[in-house]
Amino acid sequence: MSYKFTRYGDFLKIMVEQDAPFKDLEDAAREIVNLKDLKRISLDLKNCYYIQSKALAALIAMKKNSIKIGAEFIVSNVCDNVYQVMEMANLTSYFTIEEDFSSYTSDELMEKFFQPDYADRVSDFIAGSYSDEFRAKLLEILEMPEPELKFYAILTMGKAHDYSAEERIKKELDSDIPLIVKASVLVLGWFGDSGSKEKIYQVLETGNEEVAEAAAASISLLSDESDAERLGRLLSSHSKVIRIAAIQAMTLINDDTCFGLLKDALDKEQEDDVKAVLIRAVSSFNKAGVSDILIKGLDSKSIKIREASAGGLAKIKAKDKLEDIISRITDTDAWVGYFAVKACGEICSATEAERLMSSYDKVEENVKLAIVDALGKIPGDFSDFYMTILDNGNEDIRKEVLSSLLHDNKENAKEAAINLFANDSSWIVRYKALEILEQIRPEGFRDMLMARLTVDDSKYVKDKIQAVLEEI
Amino acid sequence: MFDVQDNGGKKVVFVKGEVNAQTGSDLKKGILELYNSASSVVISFKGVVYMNSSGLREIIDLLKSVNKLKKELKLCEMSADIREMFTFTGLDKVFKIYDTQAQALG
Repeated sequence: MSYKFTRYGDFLKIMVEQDAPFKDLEDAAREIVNLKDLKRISLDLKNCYYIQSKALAALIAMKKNSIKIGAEFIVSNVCDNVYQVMEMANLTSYFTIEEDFSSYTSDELMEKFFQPDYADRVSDFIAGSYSDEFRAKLLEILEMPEPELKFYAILTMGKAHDYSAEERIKKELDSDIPLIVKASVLVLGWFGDSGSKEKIYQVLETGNEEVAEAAAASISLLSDESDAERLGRLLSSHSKVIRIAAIQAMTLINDDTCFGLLKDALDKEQEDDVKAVLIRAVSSFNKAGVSDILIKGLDSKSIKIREASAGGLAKIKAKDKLEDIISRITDTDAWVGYFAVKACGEICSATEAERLMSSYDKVEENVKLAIVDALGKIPGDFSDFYMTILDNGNEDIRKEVLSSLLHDNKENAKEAAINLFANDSSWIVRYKALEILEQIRPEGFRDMLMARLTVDDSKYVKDKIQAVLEEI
Repeated sequence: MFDVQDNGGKKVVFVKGEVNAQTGSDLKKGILELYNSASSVVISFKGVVYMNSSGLREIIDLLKSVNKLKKELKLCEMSADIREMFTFTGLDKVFKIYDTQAQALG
């Protein structure tokens, strides 16, 4: 017999050997009907690397017989080859297919750390069902030379809160391999191991990009009153990586000292991308004066800083600065206007949205598009305005307007979509109009599609029409 | 600081305002008490405006205690900023984090 039934209460696991004859599978299917008090039956194909197509009939019989006795039937641990056979037979949606790592030995599970697709899930499984056996295996791995295995072993012990491994993990802070140092730094931060903080500072001060972020994160988790000042000194480091890592740690610590130091650093920092990181950091503090800093950033010459400032103003919902923001919509620099509108989308109410709409004719294309996008985020019906700008020469704006119309006023969206589907010169707009009509399904929709199918010159629109026709 | 809703034997805790050293410690104590009558608690971060590393530390401490009790803790409905804190510290690998309350309760 090439299968084995193992029962765990109301759960039955059927393990199948490699190259199981389909006759055996048929026998297994027949046996199911004689079983009682089962809620779940799992056919485990962990050992099957190939399945004959005729064996699929036995799998279907297993499912049917499971249903007969009131049990749910699942197929677990299906490898790619078997999955393909099931896919060819259109059976992947018929069966519930799951992973069941409990069928694997600890050695087999550790090997899966080598497979990027599995590593994280296997690590979660081991951490969730941690045992002395797993612990011993993970410690064994720490003595091996493979960096990937060691990385996941350390993370897994961290996830499992295995404090008894703390001293062993600490040793890996001296590893030459950044991936291993990174895992150790993170886990010691999770463990709250303040004794390692000095060593983690050394890791941060190497300026190695691969480990600096992890070091910043763990320093913030291990921080006390002294760390803000120490990190503050790193804000003037020659290394950009170290400066950014220090900013990140200080953002997480988020106390008064950190705020003051980050604010000062904004005046001294020379590089625009680091300044943008500082702007984002400052916007994470619930302190007076943040909105003033962000408004100032909106006038910066650097697009990165303007973007960070607008994002910050939107994040803190700077209602107190709304006038300042709105006044910048018509700025001579269209990018200032663009980011001002972006911030408005998160802050304005329907009343203030009027100011956006009245600015529309005075601004450049990118700001126009941002206005339509921002209005879509503000609660209210702006469909009358949308109907007046549907003839805009920019196809992106017409497309965006159609989406916003559907959100605010379905009747107007229907009228506009019918018109643009039939007459717009841009296939992108006609495609969007079709998507909207597909949702609304207006009267005579089928005839509309048939008529357009013969005259439309876009392959994409024609394909979409065909797909919709098949569906209806 | 937080409201509690009973949802079919599972407790859902809605945290409000700031999570720092002080509020985080109160939150931890309050939630640990809930485990006297529940085996699973879901924390919703929907109402959290700010959180710092001290608050995060209290949440890690809470998880340690919950694991000792062999009970379950899930987190959900985080803003992009709070989620980023968990990702940055690698704690997204340690906690069970869900986008919605329904997914966390599922």
